[in-house]
Amino acid sequence: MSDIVFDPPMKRRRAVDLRRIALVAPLLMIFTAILIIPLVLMLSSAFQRISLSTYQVTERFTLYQFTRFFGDSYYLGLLWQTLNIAGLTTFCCLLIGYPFALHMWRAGPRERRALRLIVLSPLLISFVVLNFGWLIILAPQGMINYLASTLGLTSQPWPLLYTKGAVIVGLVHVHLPFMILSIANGLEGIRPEVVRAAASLGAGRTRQFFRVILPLSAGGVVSGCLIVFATTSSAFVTPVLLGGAWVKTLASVAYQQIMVNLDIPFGSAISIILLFLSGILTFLLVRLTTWLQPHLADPKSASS
Amino acid sequence: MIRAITYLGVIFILLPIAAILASSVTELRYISFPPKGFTLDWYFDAIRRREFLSSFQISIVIACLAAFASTMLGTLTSLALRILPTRWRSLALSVVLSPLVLPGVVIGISLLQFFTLARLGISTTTLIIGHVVITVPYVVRLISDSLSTLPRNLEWASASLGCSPVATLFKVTLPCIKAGVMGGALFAFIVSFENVTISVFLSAPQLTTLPVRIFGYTDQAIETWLVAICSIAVVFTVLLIWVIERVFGLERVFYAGKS
Repeated sequence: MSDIVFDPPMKRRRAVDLRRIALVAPLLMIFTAILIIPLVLMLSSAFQRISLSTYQVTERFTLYQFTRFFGDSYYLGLLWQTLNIAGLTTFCCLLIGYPFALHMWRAGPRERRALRLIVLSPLLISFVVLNFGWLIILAPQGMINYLASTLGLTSQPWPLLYTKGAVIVGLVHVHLPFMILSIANGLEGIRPEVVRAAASLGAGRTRQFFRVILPLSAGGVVSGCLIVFATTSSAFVTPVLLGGAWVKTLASVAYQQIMVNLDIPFGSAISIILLFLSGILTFLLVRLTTWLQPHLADPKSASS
Repeated sequence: MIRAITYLGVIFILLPIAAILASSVTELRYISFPPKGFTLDWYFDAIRRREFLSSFQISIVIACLAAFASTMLGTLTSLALRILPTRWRSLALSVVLSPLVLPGVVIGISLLQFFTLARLGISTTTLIIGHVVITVPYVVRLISDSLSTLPRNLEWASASLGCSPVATLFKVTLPCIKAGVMGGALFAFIVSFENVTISVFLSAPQLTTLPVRIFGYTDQAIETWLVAICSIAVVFTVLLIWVIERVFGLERVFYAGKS
């Protein structure tokens, strides 16, 4: 490129930079106002304490909300429950998502197109509506209980709704597309020649899969797991809808603290804990991916 | 085996949607399986409920305005990002895109506090601002993608042929990234229309979007008219998908947005 020719002399360049910053400044202010200031406010209110009868701030800076959280086995159990649900959801998504993406990748153009449309459809429908569908299916008079009783499996309806299982089913349904699309992205990066080369060198289908396809798509798998885990660990609509009062997560308790108990500092503190949790996990997984990459894919056979 | 899992996955994805559509035409007042008979009465019942009709209107108005605002803001931001020095650019980009990775609860709670402290209260404007925060990243990503494939030479050519920077923007740059802008606007509309996590914190009794309204009703025994409302939402989305598919190609819009 002819950058050198176009490069203005130093002095002018500086003036241009100032003008550029002046152009960008209003945008910077907008994002600061709608994104950064609210987050800072939330962080500062997490260190406050309010009286729950008058809702007046009683202490400006205290670690009370955090000691309240970490000193109570109920909230620690909640933390564990949240991680547990997110982990199981991610695992189920991977279990369905990988074969799905693999089949989509191998399928002919028409089948692939149809499968893609189906995968994309839950992303476009509000997940309140999607969870509502599960409410109908899992209800005591719902489809599964009807089938179970007509098949003579049970005389009383199973309590399927408002269980951890129901929450996980709902979450898997909402987050499966993210997993599938992410893995499909990884698979699409594999050049077909690489697989054919493995086949021509005598690798069977199983060996092709484990030595070539799986390692090369590992990046997509990790980023899919990352997205699903991070979003499910902060989900609160599905736990409220399908878990009711029985299955609680960090996010649903934060929602309750703020909207029902009006305890904004405690709700903020729980959100901050949630934020740190997802931040740490993201960091760990990104490190894991960068560490895994050279171990998984032999650079000689890697495509990209 | 792989095929079997795939088609089980397809059933898993479509089953709840099918359940909504099937249960909405039953003659029974409360949800129970199997559906009996066929009637559209619940749809008429549903659209007679003023609060849902107004929520549907609010959802559409909010989604349109949020899509408009975030497309404007997103286009300007993407263009501005280009002229920033590289170091600043990546920092600014990560700030703008951060709502994609921030938990929705965190954004919702922080905005609620901000609006309360700024004495703005809850209004259509604050709800739109909340939606813009989460839709702008999609717009920026789609438009930045379009911009990265646009050779700078085109704009330089236009400038050297005597166009002012503004004329270059309108005659060269914007027409070239039109697909990205349209895709971004559509994406923003959908994300805003289906959002619950932010809206639930920024809602008031007279200002409740459709998903939040449905969310508020699900703790009671489910009556069929509520299913009919969900079904209307599904049908609306399917129509939207169809239009996007015909006009833009769904995959193009999505692949730029989700990759």
